[in-house]
Formats: sequence, structure tokens, C-alpha cells
Amino acid sequence: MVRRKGDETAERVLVTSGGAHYEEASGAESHTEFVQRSGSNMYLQISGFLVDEIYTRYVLRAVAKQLDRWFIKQAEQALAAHLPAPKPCRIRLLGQMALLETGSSLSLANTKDVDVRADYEYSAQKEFERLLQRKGLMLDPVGHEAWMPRETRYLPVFQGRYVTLLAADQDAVLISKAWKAPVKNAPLIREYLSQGASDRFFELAEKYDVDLEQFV
Amino acid sequence: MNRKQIVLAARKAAARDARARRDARFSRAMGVFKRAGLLHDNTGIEPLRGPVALSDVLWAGRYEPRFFELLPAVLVKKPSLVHLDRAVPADLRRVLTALRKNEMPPDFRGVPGDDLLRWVPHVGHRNKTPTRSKTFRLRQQDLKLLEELAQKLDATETGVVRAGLRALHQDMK
Repeated sequence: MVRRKGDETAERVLVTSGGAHYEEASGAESHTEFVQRSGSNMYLQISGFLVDEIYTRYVLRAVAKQLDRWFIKQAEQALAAHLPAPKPCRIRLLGQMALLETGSSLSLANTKDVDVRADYEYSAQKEFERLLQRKGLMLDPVGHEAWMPRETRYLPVFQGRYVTLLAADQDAVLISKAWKAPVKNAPLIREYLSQGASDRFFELAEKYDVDLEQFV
Repeated sequence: MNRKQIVLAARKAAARDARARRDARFSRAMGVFKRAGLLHDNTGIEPLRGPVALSDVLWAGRYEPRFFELLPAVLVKKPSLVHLDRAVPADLRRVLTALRKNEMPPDFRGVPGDDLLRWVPHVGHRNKTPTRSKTFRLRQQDLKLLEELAQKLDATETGVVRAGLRALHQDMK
């Protein structure tokens, strides 16, 4: 069944063609974000209120929101038991997931592991892992060891009462990928270069001795 | 090459990659891997019910190396997802042999061995790694004891050996 955007009962949303533009996904309960597409017409499947595209692109925001709700519940319980409130945490997304969450225009395909650097306590980590698992993702146990350039900027993606979700900027993520696993990430780097990569990307490549010629 | 030359050369190569991503072989491979929850993407390819031909996955891997990262684990743990329409290439066969023995496989088409190994517990039945057969020569009384224990514990003989090993290990702590 295909219905147009705006129909609350739509199972699919039609995203029209013509350059990069934004379309609001109807019925995506906890997802008020937008889908950015360019190129030809395409249909996005909604299954249980989640548009597939949004699901993959903004899933971490939804997880952070759920984690924040869990924190609030924990804080209420702690208050009732006269215990200290849980410590707020900051989760920094690395790797492809950071690109997906910041709405990168690159063609991304990623495996289900999520690389993060976070300062949460063990119980919060376990809850985060559980929430990711429900979305078909998994927390990479050594994800925090991923090398990132010192110049990495972290962009705010979600700010809750207890949870702050940040995503590493595109240039830093791609430099990290080009340095760490050039073969695996060659098509991605090529695509970014073809879009006219930023000066910062070239500067970082120079600084960290990443040979960009190997990608072309 | 200066920056401009790199961008120009990348444009050509990226156009080739983009063409490949529109190819039916790529869509089939991505669709099946997506439906199986192994890959997520933002290219809007529809999830597809498997299986997908091995030749399609090997072809798609040239443009999305994550197929190469997952393919060996899929062939070991969820072989129903891939239809063997051609002989398994020798390099892939070497990787599969190592994975089945739970050993570190050699690199596969640019993907390091440890990246290949880490997917085995996460494909198909979660947290399970392939079992391996090992042959032992036992005396008649040992065999009898094994049968008796299996009957008493309502377990298989392998189950008895596993339980015995764990008990012995626990005892030694």
C-alpha cells in the first residue's frame, strides 16, 4: 500500500525527486526529524511507525531518548530511596553511525556495531546495550579504542536531562577511516572526495599522513 | 597529484561506484543483507528475502567491502542466506576453513582476519561459534560410563563430556 506524505495511516511515504530536499515523515512517532534525499523517486517503508530510512539514519537519537527516560526513572527511584541521583552521561558517536546521525549525504552502509566513547556508569552501559539490541544494533566492546584525530569536533545530536548524544564531525570520521582501514572505506572516501572534500579534510589528511591518491 | 587532480580523479571513480550501486546485483546483495539485519544503509534499497547468489555478493563486495567482511561469517553461520551458484573461490575457502575451526582466518580481499572472525558470534544464532569435531580413543569401560551418564543425566554423550570438562575446570579453581 502506498500513500502520500501527510497521511497519518500511511505505510509508506513518497519522497519526491529533484535535488537534495527535505520531507517530513508522517506517523514516525518519536521521530520528528526529516529525511534528506537526492536523486530519483523513492519509497520509504514504514514498519510500526518507523520509516526504514529514518530508522537507520536516526536510530541512535531514539535510543538516546529512551536511555534518558530510563535515567529519569532511575533518578525518581533514587530520590524515593534517599539515594544520590544517577550521574548524567555524555555519549560520543564515532564511525559510520556518526555520519548517519548527522545526516551525511554520502552513500553509507554499515554493519550493526556502534562505536562510542562514553562516560556512563556500568548500569547505564548495560541499558544502552539492551536498547541498541532492540534496534538490531550492538555496542562494539572496543569501539572506544577507535582512533580519532585530536581535531575532532563533536556535534550535538540529542540533549536530554541526563543523556547528551554527540556525533563526531564528518571530516574527522573519514580521516579516521582512511587512516585505519583504507581498503574497506575506499568507496566512501572516493565519494567524499568527488563531492569536493573540505579544505579541513585535506589538511587533516596531510597532517596525519593519509595518502589520498590511493583512493582514486 | 594536487587537490584538484585528486578531486577530478575521484569523480570518475565515484561515478563508477555509483553506477555499480544501481546495479541489480548490488541491490540484491544489499537487500538480502539488510533484511537479515546485517547491514544498514541510507541508499533506500528495499530489504529482500534471501537467498542471494554468491557471485552477486562477491561482485557487490568490490564496491562495498563490508560484504566481504560479513560474507565468511554468513557462509559459516547462516548459509541459507547465500546461494552457491559458483564454486567458492580459493581465498574464501581458506577463510571458511579457519572460521569453522575457530581460528584466526587470513585477510580476505583487504579485510583483516580479526574483522572476519568477530562477526561469527553475531550472525545467525547469537553468541554461538561453530563446533569442531575431535576424535578420542576411549576404553570399553569409559564408553560404558559415558553411555550410563548420558542416560542418567538425560543428555547426549557430547553434553556429558562438556559438563564433565566444566566441572573439572570449576574444581581446579
